[in-house]
Amino acid sequence: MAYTAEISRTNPTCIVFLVDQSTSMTDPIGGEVPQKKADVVADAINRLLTELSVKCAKEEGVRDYFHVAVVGYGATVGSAFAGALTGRDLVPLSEVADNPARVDDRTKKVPDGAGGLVEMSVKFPLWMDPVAHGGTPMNRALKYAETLVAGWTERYPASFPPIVINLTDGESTDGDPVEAANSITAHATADGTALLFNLHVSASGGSPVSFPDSDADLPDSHASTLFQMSSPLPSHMRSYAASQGQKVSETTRGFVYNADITSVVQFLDIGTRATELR
Amino acid sequence: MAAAAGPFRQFPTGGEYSEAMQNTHLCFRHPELKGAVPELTKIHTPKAISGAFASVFSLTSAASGRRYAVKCFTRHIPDQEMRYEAISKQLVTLDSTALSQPWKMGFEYLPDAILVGAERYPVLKMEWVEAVTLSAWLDTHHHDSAAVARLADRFSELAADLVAHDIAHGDLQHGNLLVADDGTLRLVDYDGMYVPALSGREGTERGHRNYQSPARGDEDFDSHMDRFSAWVIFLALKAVAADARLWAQLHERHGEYLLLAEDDFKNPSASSRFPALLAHRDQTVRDLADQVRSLSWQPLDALPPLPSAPVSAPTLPLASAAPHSADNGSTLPSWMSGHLPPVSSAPPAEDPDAPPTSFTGRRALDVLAAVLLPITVFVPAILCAAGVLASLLLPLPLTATAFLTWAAHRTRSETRLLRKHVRALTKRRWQATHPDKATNELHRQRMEFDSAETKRKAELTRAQQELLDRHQREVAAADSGKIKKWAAIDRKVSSLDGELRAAMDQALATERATFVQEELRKARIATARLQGIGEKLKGSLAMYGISAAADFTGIRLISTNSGGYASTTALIVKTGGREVNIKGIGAAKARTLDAWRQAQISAAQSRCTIRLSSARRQSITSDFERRRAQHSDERRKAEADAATQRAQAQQRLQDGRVRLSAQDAAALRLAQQQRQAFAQRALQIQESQADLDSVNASLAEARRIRRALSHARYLRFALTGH
Ligand SMILES: Nc1ncnc2c1ncn2[C@@H]1O[C@H](COP(=O)(O)OP(=O)(O)OP(=O)(O)O)[C@@H](O)[C@H]1O
Repeated sequence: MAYTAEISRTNPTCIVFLVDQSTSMTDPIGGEVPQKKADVVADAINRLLTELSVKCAKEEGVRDYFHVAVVGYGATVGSAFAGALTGRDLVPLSEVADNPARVDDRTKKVPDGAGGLVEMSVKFPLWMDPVAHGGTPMNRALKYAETLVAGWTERYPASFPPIVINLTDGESTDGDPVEAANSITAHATADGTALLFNLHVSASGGSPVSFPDSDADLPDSHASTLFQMSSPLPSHMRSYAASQGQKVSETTRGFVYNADITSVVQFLDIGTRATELR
Repeated sequence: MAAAAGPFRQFPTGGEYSEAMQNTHLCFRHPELKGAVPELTKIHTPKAISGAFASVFSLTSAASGRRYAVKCFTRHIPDQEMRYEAISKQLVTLDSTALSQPWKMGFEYLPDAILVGAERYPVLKMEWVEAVTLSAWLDTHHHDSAAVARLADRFSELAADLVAHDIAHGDLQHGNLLVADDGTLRLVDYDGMYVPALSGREGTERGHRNYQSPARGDEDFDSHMDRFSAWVIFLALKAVAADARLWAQLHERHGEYLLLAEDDFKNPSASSRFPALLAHRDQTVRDLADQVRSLSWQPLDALPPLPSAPVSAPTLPLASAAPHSADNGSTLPSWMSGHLPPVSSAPPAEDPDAPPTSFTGRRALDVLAAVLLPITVFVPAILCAAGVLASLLLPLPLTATAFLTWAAHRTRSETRLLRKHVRALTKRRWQATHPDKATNELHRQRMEFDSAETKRKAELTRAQQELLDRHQREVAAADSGKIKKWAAIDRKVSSLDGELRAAMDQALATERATFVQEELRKARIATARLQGIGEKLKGSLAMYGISAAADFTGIRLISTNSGGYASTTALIVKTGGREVNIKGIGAAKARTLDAWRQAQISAAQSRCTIRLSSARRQSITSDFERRRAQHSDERRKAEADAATQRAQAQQRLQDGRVRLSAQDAAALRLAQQQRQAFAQRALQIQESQADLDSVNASLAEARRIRRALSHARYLRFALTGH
């Protein structure tokens, strides 16, 4: 059965994040406090990296269950890591965890428990900064990811298949991205074909959608295209999503529209459970 | 899904807990935890130790200075609070002094203990257990055979404690068994624990995959559920105690298992790790390995508990027990009988390739060999000594018998199996020692495939473009055809107005001419006053058929010159064209007549007030309307034709696209399969290399077996049956 390989230090897998850094990412989205799309996406990546690090943390430190690349695409296509990891493609997770570009202090309003709000300062590690400049060469970005994925499948033929997560506002400027997407998912390890998930940040409105099983409720053709490009969720991810109260079916895909994608990290079943509880 | 009792809840992520822990005076209200100091990571954020269901944080209480492990749950677990309550109640009843070692960990389930975002969630507050995980401990201690042997005993004692109280942990594994400084064990993570009070419920998890029986299911939630993992751990500890090198040989650095893993249990005969244990020189290791192998597919409640009395090293009772392969076919050491219930439904756990290690069951041929042997050796010798037989014939029966026993030995199933086994092993070793060839070949095929894929994709793009181009050409052709037709029709339509006017004029002119003609007929010459034309002449005219203005159309004067006299002859042109010369009517009278006729015409024309009748007009117009309608029909038809052509082109495009994308999808599926196959092959090559040790071990073992199956042994067996 596919997608059952254990994710472990001896059999790690890779995650390639693709980050849209085109000029259009300066457009604001969101209701009361509009945010630039580029900020939303950078925050999502930084949060995802934190989540991954925490998920793989053990008593002796973060374990290299994953090797991670963050690839930006805009004026150029290439590593989007800042700081010590600048210019690097796939980096073992333990190194990622120890080397954020910086740790910001952010303030957050939280309930004080007595019905009021208090300000609290939290440390927020950052690995990349928001960038918005140039076109949206999604095809080139997907091809870049494909080379990483192909290299990985050759190096770790037994691993859980590589996962590519594309964060974008959807408007590819170098042609229809569907074919390039299919080329990624045509690569495979003995455990199954590579997975491509998409996070669509868009000002087109409509309600946020997480892991839908059809594009019927999506607001525009960009969203539909991204939905079509996204891999169906493997069964253990589906049952995890279901156990978290999501409505899922056989055709549920790894696509999120204007919603939180960090839950993807929760889907990753590291190593050691005999089987998911159904 | 298990019927989730209790309302479903979404839980925070490990990262969210870690963020909340940055401000423990805000997120906690329990006095011991409020303001407690978390252990931090290198980047100064609270340090988590995460598992599949929770993240554990180490917090040192600001109030008491005590250190706690605080477990924050990342997944909803049905009935969690009730379960913990039941577990807590049960564990409290265990008298610490009656336990083999202080493995019990104190904990407290605190509902609504931690604030994350706007909501409160439960935590499990535990005493911090100062100990290292079993795997980390083995990494540093596997050379200390005595310590490992002691730990094996400790472990079997701990297992016995659990059995004695009808408790099962549910997830015995290297991360939940911690080893304290004094070499005693601590058991952590009670999430999946079974206590009798939870009887009848389902498990919340199925445990670590590298420790579980392939037969374990959701319904396995009772005091037996640790049995298999206990054997797995016990075997590992015993084996490493007996032979420290096994840790390096079978345990991959950072591997999430001890010596054996999921694949080994699922398919023992294909396992690359089992042989090293099954063929180990140490009897205990062999027997325990064989035990785990044979337990792999059995229902959990059929598994025996660990041997209760600690088996003390170095003289293991099993070492002196029954031989490895007993005659009755049972492979169980004698101390195990009684522990193991009769089994019926176990899938084949036997390695079909492994040859037997001794001869069993004599065939007729063996008996014959046994009978012939003494006869051919002794009888001829005696006969020869008695001089009955020529001594030079002596070798003959000897050779025959030697041949017979040789053939009998060779055809024994044991030796046949051994030969097959050795051949297979030799082949595997060749593969393992020549991996470059295989790898290069694989790489070449991969490259070839990739470039074929690239070509295919380029071809696909070209075909798609061609399809689109053709479509555009077809649409353009349809449109331009329509436009041409329309232009021709429009020309016809625009000339219709002129034609209509002309037709009207024509009709009117005809009607007027008819009126004038009628008037001329009415203008009688007889009643006209014509200068110089009297009754007589009028009579002559009438005789020529000219009695009204309508009867002639004009005159013609012909001048003749004969004999110097110029004279003029007047001809009257009759209606119909005939010209008549009427006596008495000369040029002057003819002119008078013609002038009269002209005057009649003018008078008639001026009297004529005729317009086209509306009926006539109607008939002319409707004729034109019909033609106009016909044209606009033609126009519509041209439009419809073009639309059909466009639709057909669209359909062709559509069909072409569907065809191409079906082809592409099929090719992609093939590519996926092909790449998966490549990966599998790479894996085999890798594995065969990792396999080398165990192949060599198996070959050594095969050599040992070969000695046990030697010709000499065979002869002994043929004679004695042993
Ligand atoms: N009381 C404790 N004292 C010290 N360390 C602990 C304690 N409880 C847990 N740990 C550490 O935290 C790790 C994870 O804890 P635990 O096993 O309870 O979490 P889990 O999410 O259920 O993980 P698992 O996937 O192993 O079931 C343990 O392997 C152990 O190293």
